[in-house]
Amino acid sequence: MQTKHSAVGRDADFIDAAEKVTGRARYLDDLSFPGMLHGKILRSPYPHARIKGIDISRAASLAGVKAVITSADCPGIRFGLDNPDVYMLAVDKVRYAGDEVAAVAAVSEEAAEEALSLIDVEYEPLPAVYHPAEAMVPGAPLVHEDKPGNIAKIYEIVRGNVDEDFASCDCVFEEEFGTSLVQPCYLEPFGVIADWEPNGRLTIWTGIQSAFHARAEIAKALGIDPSSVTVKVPYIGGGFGGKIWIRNFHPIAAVLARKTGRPVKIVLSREEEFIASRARVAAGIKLKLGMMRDGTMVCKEAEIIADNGAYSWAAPKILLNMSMRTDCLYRFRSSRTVSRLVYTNHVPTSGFRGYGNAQMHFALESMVDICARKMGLDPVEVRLKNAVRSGDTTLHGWKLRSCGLSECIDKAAAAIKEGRLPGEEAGGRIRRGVGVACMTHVSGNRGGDNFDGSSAMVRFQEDGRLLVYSGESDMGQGARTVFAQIAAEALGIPLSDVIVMPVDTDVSPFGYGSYSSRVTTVGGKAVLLAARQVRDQLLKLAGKLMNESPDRLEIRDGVIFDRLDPGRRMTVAEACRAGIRTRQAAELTAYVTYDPPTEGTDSDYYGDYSSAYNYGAHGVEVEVDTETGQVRVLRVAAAHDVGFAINPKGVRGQISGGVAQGTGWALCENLVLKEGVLQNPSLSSYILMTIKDMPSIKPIIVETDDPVGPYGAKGVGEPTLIPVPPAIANAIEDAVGVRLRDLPFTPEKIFRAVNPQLKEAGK
Amino acid sequence: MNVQAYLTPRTAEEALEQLGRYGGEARLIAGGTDLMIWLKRKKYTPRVLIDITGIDQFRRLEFTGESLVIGAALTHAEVALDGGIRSLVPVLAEACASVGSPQIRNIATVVGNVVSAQPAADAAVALVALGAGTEILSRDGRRTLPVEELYAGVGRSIIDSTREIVSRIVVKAPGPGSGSAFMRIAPRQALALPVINVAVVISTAGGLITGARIAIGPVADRPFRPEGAEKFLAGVPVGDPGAFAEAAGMAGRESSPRDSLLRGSADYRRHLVKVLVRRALEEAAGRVDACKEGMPQ
Repeated sequence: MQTKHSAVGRDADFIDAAEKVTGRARYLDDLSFPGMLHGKILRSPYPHARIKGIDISRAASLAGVKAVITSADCPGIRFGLDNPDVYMLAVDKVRYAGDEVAAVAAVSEEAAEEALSLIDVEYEPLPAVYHPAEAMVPGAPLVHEDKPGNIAKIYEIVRGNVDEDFASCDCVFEEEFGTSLVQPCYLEPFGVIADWEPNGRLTIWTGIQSAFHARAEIAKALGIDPSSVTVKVPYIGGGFGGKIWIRNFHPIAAVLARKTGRPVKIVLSREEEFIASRARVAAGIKLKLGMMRDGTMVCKEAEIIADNGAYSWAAPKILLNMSMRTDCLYRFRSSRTVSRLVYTNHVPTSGFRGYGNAQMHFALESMVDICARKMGLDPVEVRLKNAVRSGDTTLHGWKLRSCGLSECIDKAAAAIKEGRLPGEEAGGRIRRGVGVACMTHVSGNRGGDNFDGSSAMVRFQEDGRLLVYSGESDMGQGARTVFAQIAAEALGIPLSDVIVMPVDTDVSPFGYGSYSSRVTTVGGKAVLLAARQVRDQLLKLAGKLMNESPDRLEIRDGVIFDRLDPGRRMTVAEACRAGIRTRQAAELTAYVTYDPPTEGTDSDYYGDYSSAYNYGAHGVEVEVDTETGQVRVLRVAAAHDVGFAINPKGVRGQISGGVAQGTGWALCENLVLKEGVLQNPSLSSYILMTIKDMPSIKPIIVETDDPVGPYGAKGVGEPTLIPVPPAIANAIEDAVGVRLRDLPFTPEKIFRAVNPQLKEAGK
Repeated sequence: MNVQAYLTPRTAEEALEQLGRYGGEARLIAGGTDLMIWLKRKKYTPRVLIDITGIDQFRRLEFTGESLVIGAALTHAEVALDGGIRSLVPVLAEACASVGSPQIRNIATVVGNVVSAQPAADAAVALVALGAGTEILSRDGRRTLPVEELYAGVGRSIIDSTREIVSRIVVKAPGPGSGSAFMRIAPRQALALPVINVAVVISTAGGLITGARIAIGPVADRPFRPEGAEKFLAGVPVGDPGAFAEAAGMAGRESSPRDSLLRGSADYRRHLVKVLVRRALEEAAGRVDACKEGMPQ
């Protein structure tokens, strides 16, 4: 591969790395405009309460305060995705501790903060529901009066004849698993600047993963046309799925800006990021697996009850992924999943790296080990025996045009066995073990018959440098670099001659955004096709200038030359200078809209809906201190089928990040709620791992040359997190013989599991 | 925050004069890693901050014949990295190295760790085990008090930083035949408050323990000393694992950790006290010979 390509398939430093590490890159909070005001939001301290009255008079008369708004100042529109269930400021009642009640715009953050303390809200606390099971009980308090039983969404998805298949199995196993509430904890707090232009249009600056969705959702919340809204995306300091969708503060800033006639900036505090951001959907999962004695997995049944929190956002879609995707990991004959998403008075949930798929992987990939062990089989062998393969059509209709699952399992399992530390130390007090788990995910997601593509514009400037425009955001994952590599490769120009423009919905071609691990695969393909069109234009122009047939010309390192007579040459820069803004009137611009050749899904969610399907496997070695329950993850061997690594360095970065986030989820991250109120809303009490907690990581890149993606590439962003928690659970069982079924695996839980005889440990 | 002046005295006398001049409206600042947060939360609302880190005599780390003297401006990093402290009182070096992160250790002072009066402040827990004393300056003169006696409750010191200055900490040199160790369990390897921390200092003679001091956090409103366990250890052979386990069990029973949603159940944390006290005793006993040389001159 190295010899075939000049720009792709090679380690590239991110093209914006120097800007970022020197502090020159401008993030939202670095932006300021003349007359700009600072907005702050008053949030409910109660998980469920009626608002009996709000008195803003003291706040409004504070010096420096320019506007104080409540729901009375906002359009009475409920917005959201599948379940439009939220007002930008609470109407009549609040539904979680953190719910938006009022907002202030003032000349300084301090004045805005002080004004919040002067808003008098009279609450009448209401009975609340904190657990989905309680919330479904008839007569339970309703979070939304129009959602009977607190049900936000129900799916029942059946493939094949699962009852018949279970009856024919040698062994049937049943287990229950639970996942926890965690936050993406991106480095840059989310925020917005809103400004109404003199022509009546609204400009929004926000570091969002999906600018075009944001444009539509902000317009919906304000009751205006999407084409009246511009969304401009500065640098994004991480998103991990938490910045795909807008939050209430986006339209709130717009209302404050309209009321004051000035730009308004709102940036969340870290505390707000914890209490009022969108957490990962936590789920209780009952799983039933039917197997034959030889290890063949036959059928799977799942019952999911998931905590939606107070508002829905993307949670229904997340539940759908949770309900289905793992069925496409193995060659199941049948499956049935019944899943319920239930409103509670908890923080709302939404997208977070893995988008529901990670939760069910924890359950299934733990289950595979449990069942294999019970049957006396090697869990790795069981996985290999059942793994889906290239050419398969899975239970839900995915057509696997490329699939490196078996290779990933083989390589991860082999790598983690190499160089192991002793299984025991300190007289058995320290025990070590290894575990493997695998994963599948998507590279795009059509969802019904929707567009699932991307578009790109590629344009030469007169000096031969190239501008690339895409509607897909770079949240730090390296999309700009991948786009630049693809354009440089397709055009035969140096990477340094490619400039990837920021996303601006008035200028950038349409793109859905950075989610579903789709940007390289779908966005990159659009860039590739556009670059190829411009290449044709450039060769046509050069042919004219060189008096040569364009099909004899090639481009390499920024030089156009005659393949049969390489001495005849001109640089790309010379061609551009001669062609652009001259009587040649060369266009040297292409705008391509690309939609991948997939079918989408029918009304029963069946169908081939992603451009490509990603597979991977992790091997993990852990060390458990049986006396304290502390676990250290020592090593991770992470094998991922990425189709083709356009930027191997970027892939390795994704693997490190996914392992860090996945290990944190497994061992220490956890939103601890007490009667709906978050107990650890800070980075000192919500335990993210630091570099000192990181295992050593061996990244293994598996390439399967996908027939659809650009140069054979598939996504890798979300997949790197997905297998981590079950692989750790499997390794812990290997080390100490206990099975942990509920995330996170805190030292106390492990201690109690390892020492069940010590009922009262301290006595 | 309503701070209107930031003063940088060059001598202790000047600092005391400035405190007096602002009559309770000025507050001392050293590293500021706790104070800045408290100012933002309006726990304190001083008009004036007096930065004592530029006072030369507070920058001194001295080994006198029988004592180690730590000036008020010395940081955790300076103490943790000092060769003399590492060999003579490893318990203090280890405790200081456990605090926060490199950035915090480079600026937060050891005296600040004591005056902030948190029951599990790592350096303070080690100093209580060492039986360290403090020198306190005020306009009324100079007095000395053990670190242990500066506590008035969780996060409350008897030291009034609008009126007086803890100018230094004095640690009496552990004699030949002594050993010490510090251990903690925390939810991550850096930047984390301990679930339990333990400091142990033992003196020995002729293969027997002659005295033991143990400090544990956070199991009370201040670093806690399990006196029963300490007494039990006197006269016990240095290498007796059964006796160490017995003492650790006593320390666990004497401690009163609380149930905590974030730190774990009281029961589990009491178990951790036992584990850490035993391990720290074993570690300290193993170091007895290494500390034979005594004070560096």
